[in-house]
Amino acid sequence: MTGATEETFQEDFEELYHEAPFGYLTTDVGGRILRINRTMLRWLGRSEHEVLGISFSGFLEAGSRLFFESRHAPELHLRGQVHEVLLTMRTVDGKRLPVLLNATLVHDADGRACGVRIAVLDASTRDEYERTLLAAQRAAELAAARVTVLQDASAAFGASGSEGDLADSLASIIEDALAATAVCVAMIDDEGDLTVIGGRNPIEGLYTRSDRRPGREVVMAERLITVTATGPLSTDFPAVATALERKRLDRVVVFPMTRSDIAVGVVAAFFERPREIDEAAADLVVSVAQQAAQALQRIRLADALAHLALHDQLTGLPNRTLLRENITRGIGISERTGAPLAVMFVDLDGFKPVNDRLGHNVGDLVLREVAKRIRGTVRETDTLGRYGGDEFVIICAETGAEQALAIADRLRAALRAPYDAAPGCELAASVGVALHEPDGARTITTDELLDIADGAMYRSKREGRDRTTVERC
Amino acid sequence: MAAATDAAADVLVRHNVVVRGTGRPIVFAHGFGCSQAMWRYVAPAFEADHQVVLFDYVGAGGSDSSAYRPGKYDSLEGYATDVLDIMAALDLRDAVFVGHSVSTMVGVLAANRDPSRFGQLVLVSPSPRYIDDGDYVGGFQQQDIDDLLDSLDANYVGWSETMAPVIMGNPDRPDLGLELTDSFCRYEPTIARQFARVTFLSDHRRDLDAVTVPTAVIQCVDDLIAPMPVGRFVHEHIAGSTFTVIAASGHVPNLSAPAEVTAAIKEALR
Repeated sequence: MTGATEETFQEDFEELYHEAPFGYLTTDVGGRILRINRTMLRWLGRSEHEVLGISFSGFLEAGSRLFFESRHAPELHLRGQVHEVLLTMRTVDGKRLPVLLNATLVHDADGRACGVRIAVLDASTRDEYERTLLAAQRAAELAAARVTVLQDASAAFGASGSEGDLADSLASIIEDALAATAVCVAMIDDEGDLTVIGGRNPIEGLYTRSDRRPGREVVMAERLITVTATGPLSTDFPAVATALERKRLDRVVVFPMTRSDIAVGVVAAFFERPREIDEAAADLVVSVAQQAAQALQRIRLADALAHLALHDQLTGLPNRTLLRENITRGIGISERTGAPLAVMFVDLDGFKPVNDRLGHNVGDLVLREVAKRIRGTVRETDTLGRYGGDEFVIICAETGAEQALAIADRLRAALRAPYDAAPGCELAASVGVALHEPDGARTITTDELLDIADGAMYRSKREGRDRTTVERC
Repeated sequence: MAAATDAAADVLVRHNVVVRGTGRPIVFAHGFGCSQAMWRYVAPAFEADHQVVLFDYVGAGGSDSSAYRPGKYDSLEGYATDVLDIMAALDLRDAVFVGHSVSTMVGVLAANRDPSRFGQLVLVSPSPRYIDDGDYVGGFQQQDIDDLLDSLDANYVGWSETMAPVIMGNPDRPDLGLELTDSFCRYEPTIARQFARVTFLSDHRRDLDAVTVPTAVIQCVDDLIAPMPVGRFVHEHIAGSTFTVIAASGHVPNLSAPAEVTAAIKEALR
């Protein structure tokens, strides 16, 4: 049974080819068009003689052409085909023609590639939809990336125990987030200068005093500054531009680092090629830097607290707690190595009248001066601390009687000299030395050692002050 | 010493380095969008009298994508570092470096940094800058690169490693089928995105002037990505370079016209 319609609709293959509801063409292996159907020509708005011998990719929009030639041409040759490739073509009057493309490689009898068959489907109605999807996908990816960076940052900052560690983490996070060649972090120090505290700074002159400094300006203006090696953005900071050029860097972007809306430092990102930092990226860097600044303050506070707990506020010297820790450690080393350990107890003679006559403020000034003088007489390796009131302790590792006496003589001489803060007052010091010479049989405790030094000091007092007594133990 | 050997071994694994044959070393470097497979019809012709070295950039083919660092690879300098690492790992001297497309500039940067390893540069379809700039016609505008990135994202699925490639009948080349399962055209999409930016937004014109290694430029008659005037520009800016035009069209003559490319390289080495 043959239907009437089938009999009447009997088109030849040429018509089937030319009038197919899709574009169909063949090219040589290099992509030059050999045959093309009329549907494709109508879509392009071109006549056959205009396109034969011309590269197919020449009818693609430039971006699609780049992509097709660099990605799909190799794939086509290696896989033998490409499937459902979304590209944009250009019609003769410049209109966009979004298409879906399938292509297969054709081989000759010897198995050599001799041509390419390409089928082109009109995808214009999908175009808008695809673009919306793409935009949404990118927005989502961007947001997710941002969240990841912030999360990584907060985890890394929480785990950082020191200022340097934290600054290095910050630099590495920003480096990855911006795909920067190098990132360095600088903070304003006590003198108001920017000091690099972490990351890597590949150039000189970013923070030096000699020239106008971008770092300084960022702190003042609290907005980012870009300096390039060449071009208009190179003129404000010529020294930096020259340094960038020398290191083959294209630019540095310097971001402010703020805490509670006050600039406390900068983050500088270096790039090897022209890069524009959009607002979203800049916001991200500033947020992460802000997090870091807060974490830095936490670390600094913790460091300050730890320092406070172990140091005397008046003189800045180690306090009793830290002294005891050091003595314990010193005994351990001494008994392990057999080297003698001297612990010196220093008590001021004539200090009470200073306090009584001239008041505590002057007393404090004198104590500071005493601390300074003693520090000037002990050796680098000795530990000096304030034990309390007008008592000081010096721990001298690997020190025998002779050396201990020499130190004691030096410091007593230094303390006898007049004090500007307390005119007419005469001070001296009674010193007691506990000299621990380990014999391997007997061990000693921190308390015992301090008691012996204290006892020796009292003997010096009893025997007329301003002298040194050594007690071996 | 052992540590140095380990580091060298790491480099070879990271870049999926393949070495075949013995003789003067010849390194083939692939362009954006594919892998060392791009040289499969050219490289074998050199195995008889050369030590042929093939590799994948990080993110491509059989490389170790976990070694990717966005900061390192935000310019071709990072890729040049990898080329020098590979050459050091194999201790190559007097090597011929054959680069295709973006790899031509990677080769130029590497040779400028350490000419001692290079005996000759062969630049196939080179372009030092794709974006027009004043009198210089690279062929593209900034906007085109954004369109390229759109294309890349729109065709994202095609990049994915997990997409099983559809194998079409290719009875005369059964070896092709095997390689398909290796997904040689695999390229991490996020890496491809940055590589595309770095490739097509870079400007390496002034690096050409610094080249001291003998150089041969091979240009296709009809290349819409790196057109004739661009190839000529490269030739004119590399002192003493030779310029060969081959009767091939398109941007991947190493695949579409391997015989012509092979002949041109052999001619350049003579």
